[in-house]
Amino acid sequence: MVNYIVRRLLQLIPVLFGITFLTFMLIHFIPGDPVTVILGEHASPERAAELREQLGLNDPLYKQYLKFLNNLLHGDLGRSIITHEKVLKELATFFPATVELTLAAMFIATVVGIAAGVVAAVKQYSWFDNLSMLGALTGVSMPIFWLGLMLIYLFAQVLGWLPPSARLSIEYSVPTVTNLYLIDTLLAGNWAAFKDALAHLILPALALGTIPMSIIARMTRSSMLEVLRQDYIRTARAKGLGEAMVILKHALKNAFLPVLTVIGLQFGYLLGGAVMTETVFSWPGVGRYIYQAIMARDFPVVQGSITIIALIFVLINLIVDILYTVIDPRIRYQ
Amino acid sequence: MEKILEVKDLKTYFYSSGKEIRAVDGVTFSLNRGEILGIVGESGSGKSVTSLSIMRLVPSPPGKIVGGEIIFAGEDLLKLSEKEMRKIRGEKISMIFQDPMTSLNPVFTIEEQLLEVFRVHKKLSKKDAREKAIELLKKVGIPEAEKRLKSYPHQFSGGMRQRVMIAMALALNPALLIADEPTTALDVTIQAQILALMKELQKEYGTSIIMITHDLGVVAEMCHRVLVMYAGRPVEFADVKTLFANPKHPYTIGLLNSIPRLNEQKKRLTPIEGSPPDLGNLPRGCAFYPRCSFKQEVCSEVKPDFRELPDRKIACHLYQGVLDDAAAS
Ligand SMILES: Nc1ncnc2c1ncn2[C@@H]1O[C@H](COP(=O)(O)OP(=O)(O)O)[C@@H](O)[C@H]1O
Ligand code: SF4
Ligand SMILES: [Mg+2]
Repeated sequence: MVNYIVRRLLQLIPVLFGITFLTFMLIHFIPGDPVTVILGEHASPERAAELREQLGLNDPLYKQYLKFLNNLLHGDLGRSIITHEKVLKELATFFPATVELTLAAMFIATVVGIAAGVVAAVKQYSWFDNLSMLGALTGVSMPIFWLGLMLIYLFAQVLGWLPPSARLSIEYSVPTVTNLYLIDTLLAGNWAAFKDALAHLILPALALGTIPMSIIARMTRSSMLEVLRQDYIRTARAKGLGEAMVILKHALKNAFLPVLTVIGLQFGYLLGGAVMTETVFSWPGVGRYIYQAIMARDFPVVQGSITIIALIFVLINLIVDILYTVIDPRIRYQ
Repeated sequence: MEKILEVKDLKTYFYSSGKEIRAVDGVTFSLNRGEILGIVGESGSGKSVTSLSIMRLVPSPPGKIVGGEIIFAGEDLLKLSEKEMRKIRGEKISMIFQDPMTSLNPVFTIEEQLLEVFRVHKKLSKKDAREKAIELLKKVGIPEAEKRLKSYPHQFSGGMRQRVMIAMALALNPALLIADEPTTALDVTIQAQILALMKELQKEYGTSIIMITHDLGVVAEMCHRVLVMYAGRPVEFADVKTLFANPKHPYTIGLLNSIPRLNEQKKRLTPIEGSPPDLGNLPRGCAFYPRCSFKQEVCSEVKPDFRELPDRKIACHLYQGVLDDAAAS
């Protein structure tokens, strides 16, 4: 197992190479450059050339890439061309916001998705099954932008139950430790701020969680249906176990494996930044951060953030693969 | 002799795509305490559905027990609530299945699956349950029982898994064990071992057994009485010696002719020609009619009753006359 993990971590190196290279090429082939963004359309050509030289943009591409790699190996992601802040430092504030939102969204998606999927499978073709699967179908095809706006309209504007945007009301401030506000507010012992942070989290998490929730529900249902047909389920019933035990213990543990795959993948996607959700809810997360950086052709920011996200994506996959062995003893890695 | 189980006119039908499939259609038999009863018949004749009906585990939908009685230890199981039935399953009546490779849950240890039986039915301390589990595994011939408790099913061979299934089934010393083709999926040598084990344990515990099989060799080896089924219906019910020495139903005769016998130097086996009828569209009269070499006119029109002869029960018009004559005189 340790061997396997080490090997997988080593495999990370070429993968990260590939990803950094691809991002690098992509972003440099999009027309436009940061100089225009910084100086505006009407800057003098001399000033532009000077700045370009200063930013190292006149170097051949391979040289720029090697420089980036070299810095990366030293744990340096460079500085934003626009803000001149260190990319790592900026990520440390934006990324936790996304992590918090993603965790909340995935929590809702997993709990509700699995519960709905299990009930739908157990009561196949019932009204609940039909209704929830129709909901799931709508869920996956729902434009998040629109859903977000509807949620804001209903729960913030009409009902006034929840705040429409941002992470925390201005009257609260807590010392930053993890930058996950739910944790920071608790660490500060500020209960009111915690509740406020939680209230801010609900709507964006719902919007962001809808697609994964739908996917998880459908996957759970089909996986459960498959498992419920198996002989060992009949054995469990023949032993005299009650339905709850049969379904929640014997069936669900078997049915969970494909669901776990989906959870892992969705988790990775969401971490990559939920631009839509973050935009609609003015959530200061990494999705918006990268989006703005792309628009500004802020090469170091785009390059650095995507590298970090890719790294985390791959790590999540590794964790999922390890979790497989915990759930299914037949899976063993050499 | 005390009857432990009496199945009377059991009917279990399946309903799919608007059709009624009569998987079990009027099965009647009884089982004495300590007896081994064989149920034989081609695949699809309703043996498994009969046993699942007794356990009340017929998948529903699409299946439904639509009629009959299943009297177990004086109580009609069909009248029990699901909760009462759960107390019977695994404790009073237990079951082992055809495919040991798929009958154990792959993601739980043998220990977990064995102890579960005690946990559900008995208030045993974990330690006592564990001790009993080890004792059981030893009893069914699993070496290093203590160590193997921590194993998962995939770490066992098919024969060993079936031993685990047997241990699980006998854990609470049930009055009735239903074994649905317990050796069909195993190699011949393993088959013999498992049958020997079951026989031995049956002697020791005095468990009544319903042995479902399509292998008449197994019946000859293990059973006291036999029920022959065809297309969901009982066709002949007699004790083993009578049935083998003097089969009367044309289907039973056909079955016996289609197996090789060691003592008779039969040169040619004659399998029954044709195939079983569509259970959703049974012939009006005798279900065996299309394949029967003794058929008469009445057979295509009238369904033969399952009636008592002095030494057996049988459903065939050939013997209906005999009965009626006897009744008239
Ligand atoms: N789950 C089911 N759904 C629909 N029909 C079924 C189902 N199980 C059994 N049947 C019907 O019952 C018939 C008898 O099945 P079974 O009792 O398994 O036969 P046997 O065990 O004698 O081989 C099958 O041929 C099939 O038509
Ligand atoms: S009732 Fe007629 S068709 Fe059926 S088995 Fe007897 S003789 Fe054959
Ligand atoms: Mg069967």
